[in-house]
Amino acid sequence: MEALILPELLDTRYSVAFSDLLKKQEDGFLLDGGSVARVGGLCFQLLVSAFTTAQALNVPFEIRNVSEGMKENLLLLGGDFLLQGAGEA
Amino acid sequence: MSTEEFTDDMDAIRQIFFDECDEQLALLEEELTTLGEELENGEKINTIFRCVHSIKGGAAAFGMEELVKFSHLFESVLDLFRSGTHSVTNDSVSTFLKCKDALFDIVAAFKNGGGDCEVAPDTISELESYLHSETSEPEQAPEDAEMDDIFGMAFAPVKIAIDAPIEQNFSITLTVTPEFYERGDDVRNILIALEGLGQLQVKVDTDRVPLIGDIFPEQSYLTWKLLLVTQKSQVDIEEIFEWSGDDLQATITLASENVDDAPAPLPVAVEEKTDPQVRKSVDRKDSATVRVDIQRIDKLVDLIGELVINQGAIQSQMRRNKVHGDSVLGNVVTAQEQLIHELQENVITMRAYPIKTVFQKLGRVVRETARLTEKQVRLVLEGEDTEVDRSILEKLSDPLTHMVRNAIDHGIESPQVRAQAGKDPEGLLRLRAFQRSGRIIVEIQDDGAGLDPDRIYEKAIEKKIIERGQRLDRDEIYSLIFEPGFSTVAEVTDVSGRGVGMDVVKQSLQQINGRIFISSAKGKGTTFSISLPFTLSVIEGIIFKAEGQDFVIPVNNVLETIIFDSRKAFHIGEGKYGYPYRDGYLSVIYASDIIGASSDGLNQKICFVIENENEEKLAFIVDKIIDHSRFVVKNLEDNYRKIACFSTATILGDGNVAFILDVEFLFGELLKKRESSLEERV
Repeated sequence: MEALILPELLDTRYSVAFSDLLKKQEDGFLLDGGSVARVGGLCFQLLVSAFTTAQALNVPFEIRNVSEGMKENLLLLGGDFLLQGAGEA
Repeated sequence: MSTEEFTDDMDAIRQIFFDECDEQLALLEEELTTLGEELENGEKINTIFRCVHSIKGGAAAFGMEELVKFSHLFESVLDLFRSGTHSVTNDSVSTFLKCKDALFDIVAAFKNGGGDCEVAPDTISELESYLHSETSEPEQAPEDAEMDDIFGMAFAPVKIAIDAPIEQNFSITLTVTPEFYERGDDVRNILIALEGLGQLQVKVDTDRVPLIGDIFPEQSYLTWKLLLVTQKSQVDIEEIFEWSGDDLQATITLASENVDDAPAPLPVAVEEKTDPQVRKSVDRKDSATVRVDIQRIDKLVDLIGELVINQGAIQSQMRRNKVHGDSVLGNVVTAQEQLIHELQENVITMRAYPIKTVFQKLGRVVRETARLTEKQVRLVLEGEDTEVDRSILEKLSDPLTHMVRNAIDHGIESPQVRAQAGKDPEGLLRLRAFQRSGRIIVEIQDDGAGLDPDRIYEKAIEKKIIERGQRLDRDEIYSLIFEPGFSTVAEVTDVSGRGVGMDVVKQSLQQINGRIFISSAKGKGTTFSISLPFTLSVIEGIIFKAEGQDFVIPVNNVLETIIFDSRKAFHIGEGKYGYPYRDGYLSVIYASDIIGASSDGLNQKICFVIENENEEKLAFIVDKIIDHSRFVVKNLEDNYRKIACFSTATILGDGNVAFILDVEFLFGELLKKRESSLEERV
């Protein structure tokens, strides 16, 4: 499974494209957060949806290489559960 | 939504933010200029803080880092004043005004497409000196105080000295609408701001989030339940949500320490428990307004103007076809005319602004001018809610600014001179606006030295404006100050006295159909009265015929209409006549004179007794009266040069153009030529 490299800004502008990309992930969700500096509410919601989907379908969900910025933002938004098992950059 | 649509929407949202900034900056200016004048400054400081905070909040949403950075610094200093650590002084107000200017400049820079706008170093130093003087006090900021980080910019922690700070737990529930994201904001910004107030626990409710295959990426499914442990008040928390309007639903209640106990996200259910002040801040639907581009309103005014002209055309055709006003068609047309009239009045009112927007800027002008001239001046504003058409208001600011400066620089005496004259060392400057006879009157009144007619007369001779021996009454002498190049001050000051100004003031006011009058008493003060139309778009007038042409005279100037008996007119010189009126005589002006016709005017039958703002009267003789109606004003100068005796023009129902008479011109230019002859005869 190839990792989806996330961009620097997971903001509102990116939400539609991000949704399309996540919908194409058939075998699970392997994401690389090394470049991420900011996570906005809508993209955070997509990550939550991907996480929920992975649990429902029993497929993997993992954010690898989590940047400090991404970690801070996910914690701020209440998404600590998304970081379970995540490897830091 | 395509990228292009998103960009368009973002541009529109940015424009709304800039409009909001303009409003906040205007409010800031208003509050700052009156800060320190009252014993109780607390509420003013709170308002000022909120203005800066709102600008910062919006700027953060749009990534305007320079604006966020400076407003944060300003806000930090304001917080020291808000908490009572510092007291308001003239120096601090001066610093705040500089900061307001700096905010204005930064906003303008972003508005114009860039953010490169450096704040003057001395302004930054002045702000930092307040922070340093605070931190140098014995009580130190907590060692573990974290740096507030917005866009990676670090700000020094500011300790707020509050007696016995009490920590409270606030439970906050946040739900956001898709519109909240569409207009460029993000829940992340809200959480960062809340985190800045204290310890924040965040729990997100994900129950409504669909699986990835079913999700709509621009919908909002999440609800956040927060627990904020803070020393700040509920009002401070509310301020964070101020810029979000109805797109973010927030309920704030005092809570227990566990975030799980936060109330369910049902705003209606918790309303009763919520502090009424919170509802006032968050629920704005009761006082909802719609922001409309002024160009759209201008367009609407123009279109209604065309409608009025069309209405005139229908009535004209009815007259031509002998359709009576009491016929079925006549009644329908009359009803439509009333509706159009009402529509027109309403739309014109939409374009009216309170004169307050101009007055509040003058508060600062007074403060600065008084400082430069080392005079003490108390400004009194009256009638700030008087509404004036926007097109007039825009052109009123500069003349008023100059007149206020003049009143302080030339009118009000120094404290020493005033004390010697037995006056209060503090001069009084009163700005007053009110409506009279369908016009707006703005008065600038000072209790200074008053105008000195002898000095003005001598100065006018010296400046070669008049010749020695020329007979002028007191009002004519006063009006010499409006002549180009006139100035009675010996020394050019930073404030005024460059010999230009009052002539420009008069010209500027004439451009908006304004007139200016002076009354003055030596040693007691001077009052300048400016008379302005409510709008430049419509005029109520009487259409008359002279020498076969149609003209309009504003109805406000017509005192009465009488049959003209040419036998009673007496000849007082070549082409000059007087006419008996009540117990006296009126100068006569024939309409044929103003259009340059060769007629001697003796065949004209109708006499308008017209009156100007100074209650001067004259007889204006025309051929016949056609109608009394409202006319849409068309500016001549857009396409043609100004014609001396006509202010503007209008289009009549039959499509013909009729000129609208400039009544002041009759009293000014034409009457002046006749007065001397009439006086000799009488």
